[in-house]
Amino acid sequence: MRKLNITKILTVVCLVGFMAFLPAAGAEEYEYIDISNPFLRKIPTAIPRFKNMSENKKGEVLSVKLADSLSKTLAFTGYFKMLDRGAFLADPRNPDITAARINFRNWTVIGSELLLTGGVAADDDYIELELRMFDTFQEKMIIGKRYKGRESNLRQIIQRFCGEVMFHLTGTRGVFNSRVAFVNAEGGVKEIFISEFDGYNPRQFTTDNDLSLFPAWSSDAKWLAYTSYARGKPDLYIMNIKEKNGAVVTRKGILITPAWVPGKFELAATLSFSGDQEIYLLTGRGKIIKRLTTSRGIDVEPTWSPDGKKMAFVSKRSGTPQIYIKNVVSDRVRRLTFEGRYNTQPNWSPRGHSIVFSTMQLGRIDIYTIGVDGKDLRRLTEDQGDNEAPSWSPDGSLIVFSSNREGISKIYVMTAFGTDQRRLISLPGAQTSPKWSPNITNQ
Amino acid sequence: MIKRNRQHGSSKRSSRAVLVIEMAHERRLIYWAFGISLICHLVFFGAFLVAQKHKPRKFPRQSVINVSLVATPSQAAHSSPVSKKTAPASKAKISKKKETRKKTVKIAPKPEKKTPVVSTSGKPKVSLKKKTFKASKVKKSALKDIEKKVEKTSSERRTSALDRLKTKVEAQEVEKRSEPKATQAQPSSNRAGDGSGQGGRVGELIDIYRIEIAYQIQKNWAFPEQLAGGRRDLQTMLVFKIMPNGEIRDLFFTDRSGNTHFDESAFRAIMKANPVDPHPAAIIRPYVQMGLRFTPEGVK
Amino acid sequence: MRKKLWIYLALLVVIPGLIFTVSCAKKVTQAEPSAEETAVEPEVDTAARIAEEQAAQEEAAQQWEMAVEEDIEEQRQAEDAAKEAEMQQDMAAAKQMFENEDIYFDFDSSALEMMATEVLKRKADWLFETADASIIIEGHCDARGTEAYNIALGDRRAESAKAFLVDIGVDESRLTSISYGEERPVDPVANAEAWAKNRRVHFVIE
Repeated sequence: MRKLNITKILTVVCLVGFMAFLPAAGAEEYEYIDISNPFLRKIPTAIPRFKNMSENKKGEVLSVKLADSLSKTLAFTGYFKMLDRGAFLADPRNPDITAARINFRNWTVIGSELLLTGGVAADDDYIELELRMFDTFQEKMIIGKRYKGRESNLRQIIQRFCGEVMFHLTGTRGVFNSRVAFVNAEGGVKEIFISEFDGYNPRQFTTDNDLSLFPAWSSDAKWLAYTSYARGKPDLYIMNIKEKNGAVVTRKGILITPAWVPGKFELAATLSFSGDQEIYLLTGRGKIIKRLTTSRGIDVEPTWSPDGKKMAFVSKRSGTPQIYIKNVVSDRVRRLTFEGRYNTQPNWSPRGHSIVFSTMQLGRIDIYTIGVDGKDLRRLTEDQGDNEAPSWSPDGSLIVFSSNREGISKIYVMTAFGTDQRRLISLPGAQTSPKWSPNITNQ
Repeated sequence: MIKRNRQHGSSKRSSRAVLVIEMAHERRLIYWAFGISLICHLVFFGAFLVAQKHKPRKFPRQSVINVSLVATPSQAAHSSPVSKKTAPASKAKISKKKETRKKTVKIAPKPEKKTPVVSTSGKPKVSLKKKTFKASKVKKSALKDIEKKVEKTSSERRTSALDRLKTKVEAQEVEKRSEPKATQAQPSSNRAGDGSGQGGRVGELIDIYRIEIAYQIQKNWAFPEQLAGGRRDLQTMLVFKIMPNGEIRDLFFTDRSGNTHFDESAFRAIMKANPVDPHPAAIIRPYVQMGLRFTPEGVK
Repeated sequence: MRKKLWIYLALLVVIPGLIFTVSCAKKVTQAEPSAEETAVEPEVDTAARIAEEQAAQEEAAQQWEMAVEEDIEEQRQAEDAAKEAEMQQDMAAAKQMFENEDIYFDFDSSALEMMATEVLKRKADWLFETADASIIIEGHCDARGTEAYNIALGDRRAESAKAFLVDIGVDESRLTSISYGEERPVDPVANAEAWAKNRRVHFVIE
């Protein structure tokens, strides 16, 4: 009996001890091989042609067109690897679009992790769309939506569904409701244009027939501030995008590089009326609130942290242009970049943790990101001409920039990690200074 | 087909259950087992406290990386992409070897005496595994060094040291070889079914096989870096068995990152690779157990 | 000995003093203001003589001036016109030179070099001569570097040229500065020579 008791006590002691160390020890019980390098940095995704539910010619055409459009829009994000429809095992003529009917093996075998299906029913006026997303390994539907609209709404419908997909994956709705403003140069005249996030439908915004530069979106995407030489010198224009009216701020010297404070009708910009290029905080009407930089020498290109409490900017106070961060609450300034002798064009990630900027080295300009803490410097572009003026997408997953890799400067886009670099805007002439808008809420 | 049994979730709980059942059967043995286990634990965690600098988590990782670098020439071409990121470590490998050599010499003697007795218990494996782990690895690096002996004729003293080490390792292996015989009937034990208990060459073969499988799975791993949300400390760990025909069974998580997408991506990678290559002829085993640790570190 | 020295010294002061007063008096009558008054002291005698001769000649000329009055008038007008044209040409040349002569800078620098200050002094001279002119000082950069920073740098270059002119004494209200950054290169080629030409401050007369 006594022996048994000891055994029991020992058992309890050991068990307690064992359990206490379980969290630390449990994971160590097996021999693990490390895998730290995803072979594919995208999710293999299959989008078969949509099911034509109306059985008419229009539905037939749309079933392919819309599947392509969905595929293209999602692929833009850089998250998805769209699998070739030729490799699909399921019957393309009669696609199964509901979980009950889909044979998921058909999709897992070809390596597809996500499956997006669509059904389209079209009559003369309206189009009905059923869109679903499935996890092929879990064999379940993740998103299912039904939309109804006119043909002119289709692009919007597809974008909205893509927003749902991104929301499931990332918790934000992606970039589908955003636009890109950029400068288009033709024959010595520079005008600001605005296109949709994917470069679609670029429209001219300024018509000054002079130099218009440095577009900057307000955080509600309703206002665009920029510099224009329309009155003979670089003045600051603050324009309501819809109504095309606003304020012109003119003073002695230059008024350049506006940057709106997130969530406020205020902006920072570089003014040189004092004889020194300093950054000032202005109201949306152009009245100076206060001076934000005080060091002698060039201070330009402010960019705000998402909370509006810090401002990164370029300063020559150390002898070469470098990026600094000023805490506007505590007024403290610290230098962010130490490598290289020409670091400019900072743009603060809407996710908050990093800043993208350009560095000139040996006459070539390339894009880097750096953590707000000054660590984790990463090069994003290399050996492809000059790459300048980076600007984050509103979800912080993509970066738009200009590059002269194909000769004259054009607008390109890449992921936050420098992958998937591709041309965004196909216009004649040269395009520079792109700025990605915040997501535009329904106005 | 393999059912997804993540619900098994914590392997810890199941192993505890096994423990209790065993207790009813062999009380005396358990008595001893726990006693020694307790001592081992004390020694083990005592060692932790003493040598705080050795991060327990980092340790297996380093060694595993080392393992992945020891591929036979024919496989080297295959498995090189696996170690793409770790490739620069080749230089560090040598220093690591030295390091581990030292460690083995230090730590090995103590538990060595106790291991034969304890082998059936789940608990001491924590410390035991650590030792065997090193042993097999040290052996491999030692063998590799011996292969390179011709090149390294300059340091005879070193090779003799390696020889000594080799015999030592082999002695350990022999000791362990007797271990699976006793445990083979109890596949509930984690280590029992897998390879490292086998004789040196087969053990190595299984390790190479594992690396080959890891590579096959890595090829199926798809994860967009953006989904990591800027985090690099994500880590998800899974354990599974490979049947002789290459079928993957009993796949479950032993650790999750907290990022569903990341965990799912790792799970899918294994599922997509299934079935993997069948066991090589030389491995005569009911199954090969293996664990994988996925980290987004490689994500640039 | 000492007394003699004092006398000599006194003479040395007095004699030139006397000579000076004499020559001055004569010059005033001649109504020919000369900028070299003090410099020509040693040649006072010859200068005085020439002046006397001139006065005599004028007297003689007056006797027949009526006869040729008209001719001279014409001649004078012609001469004036020619002079005017010449002056205008000179002025235009000066103006052109003023607008054509840029000052140059090092890369990423707005510091004035020796050459630049020489040019700026000439600009100042012209501005003193041409009191009614206002100018625009344009700051430019080469294509290297980034757009916004270059506008700021161009602004600094223009400002440093302006500050120099103001220091010399040019009225600030006559000077306007403007920066074009890298937007208006003189030579759009991408080589060191072109870049050097583009890193400039250019002057335009309003």
